[in-house]
Amino acid sequence: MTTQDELATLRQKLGDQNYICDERIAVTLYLARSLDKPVFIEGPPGVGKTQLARSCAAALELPLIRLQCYEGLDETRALYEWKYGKQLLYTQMMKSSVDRILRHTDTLEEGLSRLHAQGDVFFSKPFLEPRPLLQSLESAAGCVLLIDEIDRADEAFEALLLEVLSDFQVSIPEIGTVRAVHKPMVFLTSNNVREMSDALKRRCLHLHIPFPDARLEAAIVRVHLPTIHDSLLTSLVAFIQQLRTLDLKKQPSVSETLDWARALILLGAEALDRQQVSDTLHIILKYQQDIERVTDELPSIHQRSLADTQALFG
Amino acid sequence: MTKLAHSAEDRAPLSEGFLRFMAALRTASLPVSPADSLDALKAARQLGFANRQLLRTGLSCILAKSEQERGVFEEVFDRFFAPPQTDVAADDNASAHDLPPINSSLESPLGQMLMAGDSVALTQQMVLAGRQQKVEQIEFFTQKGLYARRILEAMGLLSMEQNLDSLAPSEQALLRERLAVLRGRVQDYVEQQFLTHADSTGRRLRESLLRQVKLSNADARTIEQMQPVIERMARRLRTLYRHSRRKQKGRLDVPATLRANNGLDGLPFHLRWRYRHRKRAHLFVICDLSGSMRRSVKFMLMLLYALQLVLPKIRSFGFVDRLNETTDLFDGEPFEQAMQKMIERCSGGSTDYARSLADFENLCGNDLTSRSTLIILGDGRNNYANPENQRLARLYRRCRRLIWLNPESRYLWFSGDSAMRDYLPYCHQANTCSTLDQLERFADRLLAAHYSA
Ligand SMILES: Nc1ncnc2c1ncn2[C@@H]1O[C@H](COP(=O)(O)OP(=O)(O)OP(=O)(O)O)[C@@H](O)[C@H]1O
Ligand SMILES: [Mg+2]
Repeated sequence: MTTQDELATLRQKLGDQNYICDERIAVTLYLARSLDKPVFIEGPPGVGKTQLARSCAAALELPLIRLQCYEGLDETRALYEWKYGKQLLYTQMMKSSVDRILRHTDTLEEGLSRLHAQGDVFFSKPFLEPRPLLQSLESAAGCVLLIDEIDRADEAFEALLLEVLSDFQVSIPEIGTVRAVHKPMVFLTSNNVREMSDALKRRCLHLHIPFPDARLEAAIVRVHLPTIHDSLLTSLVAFIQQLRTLDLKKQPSVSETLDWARALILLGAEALDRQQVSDTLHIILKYQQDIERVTDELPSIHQRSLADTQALFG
Repeated sequence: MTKLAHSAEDRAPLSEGFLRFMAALRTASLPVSPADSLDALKAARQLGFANRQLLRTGLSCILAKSEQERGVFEEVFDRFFAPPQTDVAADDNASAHDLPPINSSLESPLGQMLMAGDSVALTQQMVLAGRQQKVEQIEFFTQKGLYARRILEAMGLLSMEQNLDSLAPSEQALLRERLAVLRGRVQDYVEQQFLTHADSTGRRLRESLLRQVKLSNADARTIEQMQPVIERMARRLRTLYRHSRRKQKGRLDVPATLRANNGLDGLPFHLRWRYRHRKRAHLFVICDLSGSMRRSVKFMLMLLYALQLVLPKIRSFGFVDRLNETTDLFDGEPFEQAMQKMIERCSGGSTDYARSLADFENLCGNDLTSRSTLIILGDGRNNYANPENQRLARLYRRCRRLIWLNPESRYLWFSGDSAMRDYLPYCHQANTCSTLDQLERFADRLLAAHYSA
């Protein structure tokens, strides 16, 4: 199969998962697989960064392992942890066998050395709780690892991640080194809350997903809401595109377009009517300030978006 | 793909062209690591070179690590893989520079191409000769002439010149003229190659070099480096001429001096001078804002506004098909923003000098006096429309000096759709202005003229 065919198949498979993907995305995914490199996805909120990783896992029929990042995320949540409870419970339950080992010992030293001779039974695989990073290395058939919103985690975590992503192995002092059976396909997403370190970015392929253009956005809405009326679809997308040209506190994202379309369908709309728009603005705009601003300018925005509908979908 | 196949691929020699591309990216200050180049090479092998768009997209996600880097990457990619610009007026189509064909008995193929005025064929030959002479290995700006000559020779210059005597004198003159045009193009081509390929460390950053690069050949990064050079130029000129302003102090103002020294028992400690109050002259700057001109306009205005302290008040105008005054935009706003707005205000249609001159005449024909200097910044490419030079003639008679600055070299003024030959008689002064050096020389002369008047 030629590369072109493979790219087409990939797009097709993502399409089957209801993900509309342009050439840039397809090529990046293709190269991520053939070069075994993580993909670093940047873009404004709600443009489908998370969804891309999900759909990709589904398309490749691989399990998805997701690590949601937040401030204070550390190794014990991301990599592994010892099951303290289980360790405690087992020491209690095995009290009699411990007693047996310790019988006839007089000094503390002697007792300790006898215990040491038993090996670290309580720090072995059965007492280990693997977290997403370790899980992804251990997964037998490969998997998709989604490290979501990496820009929310602290820099210390970034360092850990760098280590894991460079060798796809971690060393656990009590057990030894765990090496990936199958290198997972890794996605990192970022909303640019903070700038990520160069070292991390250099390890990854870079993919920026911008707001979709009108055609792409219409296709996305259509795939999620196949029953939507044509004239509603085009005028709604044109309106959203028009809003994105304004200087708003928060621009409406694809998720908001979808929510809005759902609401309008529920209201039985077949086209975009100004009163309905004004009643439902709160679905697409999250700040009162933005809502007021758009309400004031609604007639002209509406007018322009009607004119655009022709030009965009003509 | 098995690991074995991987390593076999890795060992295959990197193609020379690909390495040069990586070097060009580094020159544009993208930090491309050896590992990145290996990845890029693997990717290129998989994606193939046939579909440029696909290759560009694929390589960009490997080699550019941010949106900003992607911009740089794409610029270098396009430069590297696209055919070279054939002319300073990059957005004009190549055939606009075709010259009328003339039949000739000349044997030399180069001579025939020149006589036929076929600029596409000439460009092809130039690129072929450039490859043959390995122009991409140029290291120093000073080698520009050397490479240009080698390319011309590889195109058959010597044998053509031997052949020249067989032509009639008028034909000879024409051929020499066209050869001059070609020479200019080859030099542009070499300069572009230098900017794309030559190593950046130290050499490229030198100011003397930045001053000599043609604005139309420079890439975004070079342009960025030029801005501080402009500021330094402006500072030098300001100090130079602020000094001469003081010389114009004029006579002692006795009443004012007495008043100022009232508390000092009439001892004239603080002197007061009576300034020569001239009616403020104006500098009118008309800028052609069509795509090919924007860079030159930007630098020109940047320098003029940086000299505002020592120059007459500037009124600026922009045009493509119609002319608008843009003076208000430069009142206090940061220069970059003002420039952007100027372009927005004046964009539209295709270049129309005649109509824009008419607009100017209507707008401020009456404000032009024998103190005004009028500067026109344009390439004079008028899309073969009637230049209506009588309009320029009227402006010419009204003002003190009419100066035309054209980023194109003089030998291109008489080719294609250039209207320069019609406008030239009505300019007090007309210069090529395509590098920072030329720009500075012009500003210097402008100031000198102002202070000697
Ligand atoms: N190309 C696409 N094809 C299909 N659906 C899409 C596409 N792009 C976005 N969507 C839809 O848009 C919505 C938002 O996507 P998602 O939550 O993945 O965004 P995000 O970029 O991860 O946002 P955030 O930064 O807020 O996490 C989802 O419902 C997703 O299905
Ligand atoms: Mg998300």
